Amino acid sequence: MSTQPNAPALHVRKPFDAIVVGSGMTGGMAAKELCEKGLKTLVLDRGVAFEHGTSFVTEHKPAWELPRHGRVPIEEQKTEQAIQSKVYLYDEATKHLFVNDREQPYVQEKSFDWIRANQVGGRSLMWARQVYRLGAHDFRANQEDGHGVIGLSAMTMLPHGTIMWSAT
Amino acid sequence: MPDGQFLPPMEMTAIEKHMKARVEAAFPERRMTVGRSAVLTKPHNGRAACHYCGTCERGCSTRSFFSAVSVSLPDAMATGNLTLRSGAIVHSIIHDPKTNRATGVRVIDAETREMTEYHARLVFLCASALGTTQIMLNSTSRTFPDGIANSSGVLGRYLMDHHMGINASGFTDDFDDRFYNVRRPNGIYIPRFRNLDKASRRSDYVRGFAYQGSSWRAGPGRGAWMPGIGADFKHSLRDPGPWEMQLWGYGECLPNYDNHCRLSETETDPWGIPQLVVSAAWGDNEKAMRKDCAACAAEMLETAGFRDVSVSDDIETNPPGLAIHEMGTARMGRDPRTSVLNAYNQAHDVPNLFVTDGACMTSSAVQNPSITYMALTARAVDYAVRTNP
Repeated sequence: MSTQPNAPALHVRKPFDAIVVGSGMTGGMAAKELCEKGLKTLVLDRGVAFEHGTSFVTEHKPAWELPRHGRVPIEEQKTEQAIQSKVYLYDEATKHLFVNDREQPYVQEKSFDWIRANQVGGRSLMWARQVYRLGAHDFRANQEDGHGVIGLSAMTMLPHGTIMWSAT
Repeated sequence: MPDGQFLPPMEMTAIEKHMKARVEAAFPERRMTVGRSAVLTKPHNGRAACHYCGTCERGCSTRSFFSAVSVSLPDAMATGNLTLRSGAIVHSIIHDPKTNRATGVRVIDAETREMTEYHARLVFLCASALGTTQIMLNSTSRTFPDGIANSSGVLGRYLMDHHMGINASGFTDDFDDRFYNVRRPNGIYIPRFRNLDKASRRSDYVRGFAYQGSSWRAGPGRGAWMPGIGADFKHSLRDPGPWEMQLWGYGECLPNYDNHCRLSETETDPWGIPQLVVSAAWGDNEKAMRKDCAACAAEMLETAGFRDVSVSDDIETNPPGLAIHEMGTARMGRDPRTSVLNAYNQAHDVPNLFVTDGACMTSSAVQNPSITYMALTARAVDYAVRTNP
């Protein structure tokens, strides 16, 4: 897989068939589906380049090969990743997968922990991999109790139990 | 919660099997299953079965767990149709008022800060609920002064996340002769059992909650919190510690107009893009549900016969966002006056613009949402290619 972090800024470009913004859980799936249907597709991600295999720099590393045995100094957490460090799997081996909160600020009018990925592939690298389908009562919920609008509720339930595995 | 077609399940531990039997006998409406995990348990389509190293989040050379980097993006790349550019911060979407179409995007290079335009006949926003919404709000024009495809004014509104931080624990000494796979990248799941029918109807809240959970035996590290000193103490820590079972509640969040994000009028990020202001809080329905969720967790651990059952409800340290299931800020709907997208994730206002990440959701349900987003994405692509809007 090749990425082009430094693609030259051309002033005249041939248009693509499709542009996908984001390359994580849904962007990756949009890219796969669009490309397999023959559309010339541009995927844009604000994060750093990240490739299968070569980018897995801490994979299988035992604690004694990590400079701080997996820990991240409290001071560094506070100044660089005050929000990201609240995630249960944040440690020395995974901190590079999360954005730097100081460099990518947002405003919390009320407390909101915005957990963001730092690379191509997005949060699909750090998810907990739990996959549960929504049931008929979930699609009907707004209609039945009056909270929110009716979205997919009256439509056919999504037959997507196997999508994780059909995506080779 | 519907079934699907599954690979062979991972195995529950001895105490999980024990708890499942006790709980399902006492409460027939409460079912316990091993987690449904996007990790292969046997080789599949050229990907290897999990080798149980236990640290999925560090990457998976054998492509055993699903990630975009290991699975969907390589599939896209193999077609020869993919161009992938990293370090590309999308500033806004370009809209042509004459044709009422999205014609492309403006991109800032993260390093050089140079602005470039890319053009296409279809635009898919998959930048996460808040990321996508920030881009849309920042895409202003004479046609859309409040953000592209925002004639309804609800873009950024109805922000949801699952509420969590209800943690329950219990111990048992009845299975000290049993051990388990300590690196199973999975836990157990108890699907929602409240407000599904007349019998399970609650008067104090609507919707419901589910539990993830897991069990383990404490390792040698437990010595750090135990009284003791000397060689005998140290040797005793070589044996596995007591079994502990934990349940973690996750609850559905109602869509609430006041929970929202918007662009800051004063603060910008290092690339000159207005910062996102996020404003959300748990409501009365969530708070009422949490009481029942905590009580049911304790009740089930006690039913299983576990000792020292404890439950904590840490709502203060679990503000919205931390479940990392944020969604709802560009919601679907039948009425363009009250929603941003139609049922195919297509913007009501701009027919060749699609939003297929969590921003599209109209309600949060309680299930972990990624698989639903992916299904909606595949469905929206199919629709877009078929109808060529």
